[in-house]
Amino acid sequence: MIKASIKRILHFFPYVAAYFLALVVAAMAFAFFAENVLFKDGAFSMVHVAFYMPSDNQLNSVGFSFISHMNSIENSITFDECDDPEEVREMVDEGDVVAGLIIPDNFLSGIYYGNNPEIEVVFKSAETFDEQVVKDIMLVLANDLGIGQACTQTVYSFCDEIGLDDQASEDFASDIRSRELEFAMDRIGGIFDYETIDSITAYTLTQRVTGAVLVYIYLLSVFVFSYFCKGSNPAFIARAKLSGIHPAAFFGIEGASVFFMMYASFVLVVAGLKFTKIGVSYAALYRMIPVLIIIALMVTLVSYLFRSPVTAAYVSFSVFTVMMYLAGGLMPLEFLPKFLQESAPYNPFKYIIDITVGAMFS
Amino acid sequence: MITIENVSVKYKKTVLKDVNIKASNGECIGLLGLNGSGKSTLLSAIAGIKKPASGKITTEGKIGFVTQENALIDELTAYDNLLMWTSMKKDDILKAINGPKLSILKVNDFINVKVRNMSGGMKKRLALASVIITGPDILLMDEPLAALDIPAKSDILKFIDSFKADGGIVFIASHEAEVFRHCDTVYHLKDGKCIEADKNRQVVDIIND
Repeated sequence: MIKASIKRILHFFPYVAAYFLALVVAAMAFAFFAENVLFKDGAFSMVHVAFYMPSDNQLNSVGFSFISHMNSIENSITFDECDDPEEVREMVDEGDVVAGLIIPDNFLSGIYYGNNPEIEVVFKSAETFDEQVVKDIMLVLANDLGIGQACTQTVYSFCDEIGLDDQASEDFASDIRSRELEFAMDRIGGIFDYETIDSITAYTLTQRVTGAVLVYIYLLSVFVFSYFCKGSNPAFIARAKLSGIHPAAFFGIEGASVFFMMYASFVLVVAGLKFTKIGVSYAALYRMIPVLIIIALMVTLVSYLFRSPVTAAYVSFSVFTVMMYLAGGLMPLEFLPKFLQESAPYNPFKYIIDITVGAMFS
Repeated sequence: MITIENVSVKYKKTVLKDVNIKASNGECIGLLGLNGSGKSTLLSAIAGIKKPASGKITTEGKIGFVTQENALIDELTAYDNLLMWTSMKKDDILKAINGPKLSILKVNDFINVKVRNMSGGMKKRLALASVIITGPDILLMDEPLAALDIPAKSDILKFIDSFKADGGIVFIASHEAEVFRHCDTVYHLKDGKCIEADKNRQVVDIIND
């Protein structure tokens, strides 16, 4: 039987290869241009951040307006302004935003006079790469600001210690603030470089789309493999039983055959992706083995459950499409309604996609 | 030897009720009945694929089952399909299909043809050969002559006679009158009951009883 199964694989593989070639080329074309579709200027704001800003100083508004209109920020973060600090905390708690900024009353005057006012930064756990990037940037900026404030405060203390008058202290502090601002402005251009940030985010999206679409294509290969798997045919099960082969062993042999064909096609996919800028890792050739085993068993099982290959194909298309959608495989989770985002962690397909992306690109 | 004692088989409702049949070596049993009367179910129960709800089936010897739906792989040749269900080597397979038992089925004529390119008659012969090559003592055949031309029917009936002559037991479920001329006993399955019928009567008359 093993010998005949190997012959079956060799005879059947050209159909499998043709299926994967056609779909993978089409899907990769989409993945390749996903960044152009999803990352046009102003197309989407990926991450939501809540903020509260006191209206005691117009400079606050000017500074905030300056930052929020930077290209990189405008294309990746949506700022939701709140009326009071408590509202910011509630939005973070409820998961409506990834982070919140609370600027205290008399913030600017406090900095000038060395009172060390602190911006409160509230986080929730990041679920996506983009959220983590935004969190990290906010944390770095908050730390930078804190260091600057600490320096200013030290200057005031020092001046007080050596007995300088208020005007002289203010001159020293002003000098320090100018140097800090000059240093920050020199660096801020690099941190918020539009090309760098957007190309990183777009690359991440391209990776995710590539991984998710690949999983989807493998799941939908029920279209092909349901013609290969004979477990839904009672005649085969009867023959297997009478030949002393347990139906589970028959399932195992066919599942293994499906896996080998999937793996062979995956080798072709990896080879093909090497010619694109997506940059798949060769380590994917062994890292993807567990994922392909799971998918092969799922595909074989679906093929066994329905007597007609056409029924198996239609049912798997419906079920897998919905499951992949809910797992954020067909559309980034950030664009789905909140309740669907919250249900994603309970969807096993989300983890299959995550593992696939990790296996192929990490 | 096969003994079926008070066997009842149920799916959602009772399909067979208190069936009693005895078959000795060299005997051919015909099962006649309308669609859904339980012919295939009885064969599945004898094969051990469908478990009876009550009663007992005793079989002596290896069972071969030629189902209505062929257990053949379309993309493989006749030879590869034979290879699927036996651990025999290539030479032994070729020897077997040209031997006295299987040569009647003329499988050697299309040994290198893929199943998808075969006619219905070729597929039926191959399906039968793929069962016989495993050396069964009891042969269960479900509609073996359905949609076959006259030469193919004739070859399969010849084979049944030769299998009987070698001491094998054959159970055939069919609607075809000519099959029952080769049977020693014919049973009529109706409303879950299995009643012995006069094999010399017309099939239509038996069914209309």
